[in-house]
Amino acid sequence: MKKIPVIMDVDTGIDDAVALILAMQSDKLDIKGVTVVAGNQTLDKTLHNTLSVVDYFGRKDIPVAKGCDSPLVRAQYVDPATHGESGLGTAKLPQPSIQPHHLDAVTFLKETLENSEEKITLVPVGPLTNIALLLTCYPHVKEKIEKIVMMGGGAFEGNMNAVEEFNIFVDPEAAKIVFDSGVDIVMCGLDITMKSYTTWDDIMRLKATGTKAGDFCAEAFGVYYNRYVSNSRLPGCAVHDAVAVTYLLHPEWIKTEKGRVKVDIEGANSYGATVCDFRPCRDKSKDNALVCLDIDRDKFVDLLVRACESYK
Amino acid sequence: MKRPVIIDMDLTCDDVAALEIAAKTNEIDIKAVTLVGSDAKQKTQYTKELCRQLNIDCKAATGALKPIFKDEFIQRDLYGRYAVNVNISGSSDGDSCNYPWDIIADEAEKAKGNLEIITLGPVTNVAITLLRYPKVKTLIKRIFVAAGAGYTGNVAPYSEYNAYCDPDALQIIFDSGIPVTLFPLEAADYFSKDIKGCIPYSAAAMTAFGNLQTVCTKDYYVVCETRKGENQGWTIVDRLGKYKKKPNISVVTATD
Repeated sequence: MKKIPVIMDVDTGIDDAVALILAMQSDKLDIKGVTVVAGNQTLDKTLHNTLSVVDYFGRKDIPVAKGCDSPLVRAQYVDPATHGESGLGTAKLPQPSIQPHHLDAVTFLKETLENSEEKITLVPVGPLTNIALLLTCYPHVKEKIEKIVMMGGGAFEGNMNAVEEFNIFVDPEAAKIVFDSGVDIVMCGLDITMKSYTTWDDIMRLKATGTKAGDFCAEAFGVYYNRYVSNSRLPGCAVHDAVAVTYLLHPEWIKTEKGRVKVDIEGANSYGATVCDFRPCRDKSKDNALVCLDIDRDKFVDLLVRACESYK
Repeated sequence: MKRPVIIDMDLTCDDVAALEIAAKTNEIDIKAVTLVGSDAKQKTQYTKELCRQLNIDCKAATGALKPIFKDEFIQRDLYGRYAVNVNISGSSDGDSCNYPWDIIADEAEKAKGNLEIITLGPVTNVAITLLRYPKVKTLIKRIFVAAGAGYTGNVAPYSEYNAYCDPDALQIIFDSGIPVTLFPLEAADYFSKDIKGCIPYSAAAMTAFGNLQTVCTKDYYVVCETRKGENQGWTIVDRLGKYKKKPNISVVTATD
C-alpha cells in the first residue's frame, strides 16, 4: 500500500508528542522529516522535546530540523501553564542521542520538497512561522506540496479568547500567509479538536497497554488533563495535534465542510480569528480549505490505544 | 574603500534614472539589484539588460510579487520605460531559485558588516530577508529607505506610495534595530535633478545615498500606520517627542 509522504512541523508540546507517537508507528505514513517551531514552549525546549520523543520511540531515522524561535511580528508567547516548564508536563524522557539536522527547518523543507519525486503533505501542528517563511521565500515549492493538514484556528470557537486559537494567536501573520498561499488546506481547528478528548478512563486505557508509549502519555496527560477539566467544559483533555494525523489515517471518521478561510490581522476584536466563510452565496471558486467539524471520538481513542500498544 | 550596496526597487521610471546615477557613483559597488512588484519577473529581465548597458556587473533577482501580508500591490500609472535602447531577450535564466533574501544574506556575510541597502520601492524584499535570516540584522550597516512622507503624501493626504504598498514590511524594518535612514517624499525637493517627464523621487534618493556627507538628517521616533484605512502607510514622525520613545530613524531633512 502506497504510503503518504509527510513532513510534520511541531512545537512539542504534550499533544504534539502524542501526534508524533501516533504518526511514527503508522504504516500509512512515510515521515520525511520533522521541523520544529517555538510555541507551547521556547524553541530550545520544543527542539529538545522533539529530539527526545523521536529518539525514545525508536525513530532515529527521522531528520529533525530546527526552525524559528519567534513569531514573524507578534511578541513571543509560550504556555507553561498547559504544557509545563519543560513542555512535556511532568513526563521525563532520557536525553536524546540524536542531533538536529544540519539544515535549518525552512531550508530543510525547501530542499526536501525540491528533491522529492512525489508531492509531500505538510502537517503543521504548531504556530505556522516555519511554513509561512517557506511559502513566502520559496514559492516555487508550492507545486510540490500535496496539501497542508494543520491543527489550528476555529471556525466558531477560540481558546485564548473568544476568537483566537493558540497556534494562530502566537503568529497570526504567519497563519494569514499560509491560508492566502493558494495551497489546499485541511483545517483541524477547535471545532473538531475540542471533541477529540480523552477522559480519565481513556487515559487509563493508554496506561494499561503497559508500553513505554502508554506510560509516557499517562504521565504527560496528568497536569494537562487537570487543566482541561478545571478550565473548560470538557470531561477530559483535548488531544488537538493528534487529530491532524488522524485525518490522514482515517478521514472517514471526520466530518468536514468546504469553505474559504481568511485570517484577520486588522480587527480590534477579531484580530487572529480564522474567519470561515461557509455562506451558500459565497464565490466558491475562492474556497481554500476543508474545515473539520466533528469526529468519531470512540474510534479516535481506540486509535490512540492501538498506537500505544504497538510500542511494545 | 567602495561601499558594497544592494539596490532594491520596483523599476518605475525614476528608478531607472536612479540606477544610472548609481552606475556613475564611484564609491558605490553594486552587488545586486533586486526587484519587487506584481510584474517583478519581467522587470528583472529588463533590469539585467539595463545593467549590461550601464556596465554594472551584478546579480539581478526577482523578489516578492505581493506585499508581505496585504493581498496585492496597487498599480501605479507611471511605468518604468526609459529611453535607452534595450532589447529584452526572450530567454529566462531559470531563476526560480535565485531569491533576493538569499542573495542579501550572502552578500551581508561577505561584506562583514559593511553592506548597505537602498530601497526605491515597497520594502517587502528587505522585510522578508530580515524575517528569514534574523542574524543578518547585525551585518547590515544601513538601510536607506525612499518611502514615506513627513508632511504631504501622494496616494493619500499623508501616505506615500511605497509605504502604502507595504506598511507592514516598513514597520518590520523600523523595528529591526538596523540603522535606517528615511528619505521621505518631501526630501526629493532638497536633492532633485532636472529629469524631464518623471517625478525624480528615486533619482533624488540615489543622489543623496551616493553623497551621504551632504545629507542632513535628524533622529526621530517614527512609526508606520499599518491598519487598513485612509491613513494606512502614514509614516508618523514624532518631531516633538510626544511618544517619549527613543528615536529610531534618521529622517532626511532640509539643509538649514
